Amino acid sequence: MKFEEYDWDTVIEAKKNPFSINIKKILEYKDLILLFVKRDIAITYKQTILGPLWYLIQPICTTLMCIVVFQNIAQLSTGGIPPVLFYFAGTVLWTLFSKLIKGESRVFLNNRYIFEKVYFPRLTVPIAIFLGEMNRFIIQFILFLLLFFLSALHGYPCRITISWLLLPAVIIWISMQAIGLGLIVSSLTTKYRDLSKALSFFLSLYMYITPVVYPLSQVSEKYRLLFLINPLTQVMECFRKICFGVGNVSLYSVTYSLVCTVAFFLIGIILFNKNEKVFVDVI
Amino acid sequence: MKDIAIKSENIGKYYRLGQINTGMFYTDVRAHIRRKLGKDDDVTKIGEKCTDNKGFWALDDINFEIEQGDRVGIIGKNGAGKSTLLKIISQVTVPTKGRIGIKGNVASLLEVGTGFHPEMTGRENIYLNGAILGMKRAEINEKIDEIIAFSEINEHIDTPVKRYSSGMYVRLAFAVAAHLDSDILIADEVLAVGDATFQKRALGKMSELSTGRGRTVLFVSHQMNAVKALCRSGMVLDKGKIILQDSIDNCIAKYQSGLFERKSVEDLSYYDNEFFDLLDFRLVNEDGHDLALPLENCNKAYVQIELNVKKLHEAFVIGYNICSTEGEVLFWSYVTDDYKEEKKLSLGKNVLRGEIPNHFLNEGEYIISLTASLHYIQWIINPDEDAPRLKLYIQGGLSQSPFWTLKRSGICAPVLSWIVNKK
Repeated sequence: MKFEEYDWDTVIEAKKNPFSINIKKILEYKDLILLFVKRDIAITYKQTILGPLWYLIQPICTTLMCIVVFQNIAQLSTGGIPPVLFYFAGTVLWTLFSKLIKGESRVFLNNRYIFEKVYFPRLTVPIAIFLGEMNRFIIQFILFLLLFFLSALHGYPCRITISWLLLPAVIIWISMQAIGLGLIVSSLTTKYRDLSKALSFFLSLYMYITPVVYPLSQVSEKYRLLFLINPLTQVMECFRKICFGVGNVSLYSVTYSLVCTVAFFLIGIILFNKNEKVFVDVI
Repeated sequence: MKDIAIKSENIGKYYRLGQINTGMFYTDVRAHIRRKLGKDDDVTKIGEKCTDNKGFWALDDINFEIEQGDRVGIIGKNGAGKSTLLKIISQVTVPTKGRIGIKGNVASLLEVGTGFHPEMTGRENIYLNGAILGMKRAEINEKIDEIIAFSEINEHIDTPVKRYSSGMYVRLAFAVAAHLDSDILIADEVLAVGDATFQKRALGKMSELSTGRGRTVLFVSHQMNAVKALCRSGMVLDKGKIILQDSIDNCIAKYQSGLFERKSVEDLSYYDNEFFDLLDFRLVNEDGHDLALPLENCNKAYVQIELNVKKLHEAFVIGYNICSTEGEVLFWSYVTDDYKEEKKLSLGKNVLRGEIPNHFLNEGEYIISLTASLHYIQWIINPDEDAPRLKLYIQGGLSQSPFWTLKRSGICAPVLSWIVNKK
């Protein structure tokens, strides 16, 4: 019988279409994804005193620090938003972005011993990382809501509006951007290790050209363009616009950022797909 | 005709040697562009062609069909391509050319305990490892008691595995693997774990796994007795090609005959390393002359190793291991076993002679492999790999007794002393 005449379940071939993603196969491994998420959460806080409380301590401390440094010392305006809420929101969003990028960028490096030995759909790992970060984000966001209501009780004009329904879209938007960029870096780090080191350095610089600890309205016209090129700017501004009703949002910039996001995401997935088969021989 | 479980067509795997790239993005891009422009890329050395001709085919034109329910042992020297083949079938790496069709789901054990996390408990790791190997949560729930029982971890199952002894760790890892349910099982040397009793149990479990429900098994191991016990047919690989596909007995015979192309003294320079040059490795008799084979069991034999020591290391050991033609190791012996200050090696030429006592081994054929390593640090010459080997053939001279002239069963055939008290 000829090769084609058989009813194969799997055919292994030299060439693989980098655009093909076997969603069905990934769903078969949903237990594995959940276990990866559980593992990542569990091992981060094993043998720590405070455990998952760190999810809350980190943004609270950063927020307090921001209030001291940026509000009291540097005297940056928060555009009329209560400083605690402003800095907390910025910190939480930025944490989501940077942790996601860092996590995804190390997919191949951190899992190479597993990838060398067992086959399973490799995309399960980035998905698990995303879910793990979502878990952190949701916990932090609940604290944000608490702060939000506390501020409302103290007379700040905070209220939840219908536009809050757009928040999940913003979260997906920022996550896709981070995942895309992270996967691009992860595929390149299999060849060039220094990229993963460069990434944390780059991220710390990146935070300063993103309106995280100050609103875009505080940026002088001279540097505005630099901020508008940065696709993360509009995400931050949109988030604030939705939550606080204050933010510099323009349709033009949002479209630009969305296009960038989709491009990063697709390039990331394609590179990842291309790389998952060959990296074992490279790394 | 039986159904085909795996069919391989012209499978080839090409590895480039040396550096794949310079490791620096900028230089790579520049080299790539310059190559495209037809200029020298200033990375490749002058005289070498830019095309990737510095490489080798780890697998070359591999064609085979494996019937459903067959148990195939893949044997060959290290570097013959066995592991590469398993990796391709397990989809860990892609072939450079050719294709493979697989019918049924595959469980591959290229290693036991993949994905074990030291911080997590035994139970958590069972779930994680099981899921990595492709088991569903419900399936693991169903089998977890069986897995725990098989691993003999019992009360420690909720302790982080970092506190396990290496034996416990390996037992747990194997237990998970042993409870995989799949149509096709691919296993690479996984039996080489644990102590002797556990290995026996593991081997038993493996054959139980492979004989039950018509599962197809592909098995790679250097332990010929394990291969023999588990497999029905075999495949011998050499330098990336299949040189024989036959019954397992014929394959083992072919493989072992290939091991004993006696290395001449010039060949021994192949084993030169930073610690010593191997000058000679032979069997001699009491007078230091070449041993005549077959050896009568009443005579002693000596393994003589001549080497030029270039660098001393305190963990350096050299000796031999002796095994039966089935691959079962009888014992190891190192110069350092006879631990005395004056027997330490010194720089320059050393001639070592290790005694194999008379009336000790039984009649039969034995394989003696040279072994050298920095103890627990690194192999210098690994007896399981491409080590120089000698053949010892013992026949006759079993004892002076008229009641013991023919071979008795057993590994040893010692003539032991008896006390006879007469009243």
